[in-house]
Amino acid sequence: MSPFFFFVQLLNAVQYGLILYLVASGLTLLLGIMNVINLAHGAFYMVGAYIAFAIVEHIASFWLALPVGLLVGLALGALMERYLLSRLEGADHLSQVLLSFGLILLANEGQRILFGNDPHAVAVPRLLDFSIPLSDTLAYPAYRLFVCLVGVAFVVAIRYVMARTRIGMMLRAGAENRDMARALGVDVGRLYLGVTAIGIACAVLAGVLAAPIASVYPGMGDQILILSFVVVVLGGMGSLDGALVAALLLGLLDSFGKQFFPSYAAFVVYVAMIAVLVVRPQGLLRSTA
Amino acid sequence: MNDVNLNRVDLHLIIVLAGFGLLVPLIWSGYEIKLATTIAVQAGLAVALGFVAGAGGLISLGHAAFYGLAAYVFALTAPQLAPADLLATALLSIGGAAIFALLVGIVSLRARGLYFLLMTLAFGQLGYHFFHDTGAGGSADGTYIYFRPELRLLGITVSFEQPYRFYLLVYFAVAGCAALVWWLRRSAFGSVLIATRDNETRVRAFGFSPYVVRLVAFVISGAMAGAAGYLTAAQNGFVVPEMLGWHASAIALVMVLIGGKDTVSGPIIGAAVLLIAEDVLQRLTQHWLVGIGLMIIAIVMGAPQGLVPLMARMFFAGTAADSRWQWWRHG
Repeated sequence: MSPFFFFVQLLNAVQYGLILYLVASGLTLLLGIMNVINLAHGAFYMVGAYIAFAIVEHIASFWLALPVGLLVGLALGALMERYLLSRLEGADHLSQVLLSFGLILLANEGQRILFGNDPHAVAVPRLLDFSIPLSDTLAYPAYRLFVCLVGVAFVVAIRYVMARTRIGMMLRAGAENRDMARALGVDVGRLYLGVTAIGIACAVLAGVLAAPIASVYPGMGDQILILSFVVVVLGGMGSLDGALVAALLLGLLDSFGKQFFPSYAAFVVYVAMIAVLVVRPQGLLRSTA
Repeated sequence: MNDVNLNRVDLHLIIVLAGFGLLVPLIWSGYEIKLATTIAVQAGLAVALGFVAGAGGLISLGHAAFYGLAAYVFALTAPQLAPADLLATALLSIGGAAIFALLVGIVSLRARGLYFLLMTLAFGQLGYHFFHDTGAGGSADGTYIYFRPELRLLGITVSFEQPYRFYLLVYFAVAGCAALVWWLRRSAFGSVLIATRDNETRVRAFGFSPYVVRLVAFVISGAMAGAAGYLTAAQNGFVVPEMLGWHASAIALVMVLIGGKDTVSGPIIGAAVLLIAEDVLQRLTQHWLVGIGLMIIAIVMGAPQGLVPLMARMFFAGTAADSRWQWWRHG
């Protein structure tokens, strides 16, 4: 393996890991703060990808898809919390599993009605439709680099919000001890609304960003959903930093594991998930449960 | 809603379902028998899952792994050119599922709640990828089974190629599972299991090990799920990795919740409602999944305890308030 090829694989790993982080961060916030298990998170990722496809194909340039995806994600998240999740409060995880499974069926079939069963490619935006040469034979697509940059910007922004702002403080308090946060005067209902809206907007945006790389196809949310759960578990439920480390690890495993041991790459992922759940259920980074 | 009423409704529903199930081969033939067989098999899986989810409070999102594994054990041990021996292959498949459930349980039952759910999900995906990625059992395409197993007992051979005979085999297998769960829930073991769900500390104070109690329940449930998987493989004549995946596990949970996890008739009714709705909607539109999705959401929002408790509440509506005057209603 030449150093340039290694470098390309490394960039792919980071880019894939950051997309995964974008999806998993919403999932981990929902789990950590609201104790909600949302199987439909992957379906929202698919919604984002198809928003990108529909806009690029029929309406305008890719750049419109980003704000549209953000707004649609916020709206879907707020509606889901307001009309579905908040009414389930107090119910067990079984209800949440079923509710979100029902949403998956609706999303998958809605996708089939609107776009059919065929996979579609999404054109890379013209501004970024070029490659950066690395050696005589290897080049790296600019769009993938752009996704990396967006991912890094997201990481910086979310860390800043969590560490330095009032909202971040309330979120951390909610994740640490929900009842205590409520007792101290945090408006938990509004907090939940915000967390769900933002968490789902993240998944939709991840789908928009991934569309030109991964192409769009029916059921594309399933794979990313399960991997996001792995990320959440490895990082520790509710831990954003843990999720970042875990997502980058899975990114590395995805790009190098599929090179060296394609039949067993998925195995390694789930064995790692089980091992962490057994040995360190608090996640890889945290010292205590 | 009190437990006495719920239990009574549950028992009545089981008797009605059992009687109706016996009438099916007399009333219908052909397609309806096949549908009834599918419903019965899935009801078996749902009853198995409902037992641990309801009495044990263990929400497993990996139960399809036991179901699918038993199906694969049958597919890989059945002879290619002749019918397999029912008792031998069934024992092997169910035993395989039970052993896998034991291993999964030993690891997963250290965790509770969401952690348990995610652990079973991971094991289920492990099983799916084992058959999907490594080439065992024909990879993504799965494996065919060319003959249904036949019963060889005391020199008599009974074939199950005829649909109504196979239906009766499934009927008695599932009825056996339901009876076992009914009995287990009311046994001393069941009481302890329910107690581990409601108050683990007290169970420990009484000298029981919640871990062992849950493990036994989980293995019994896994074995019953395996029986359903075995029968599915025998009915369809093929097995695919998707039988082990999380979608299949989630659908089993859907059946349990539609009917109600705290009863024995609930999962059976859940399976019937889901599969009949599927069958009806499929005739109306190719986008029938929209209807299924809406139905699931409506039931979760409207009757989160399931249809059987809803029925019980409607049937006994108003009796709670003036039950003093209706003492004869209580057994």
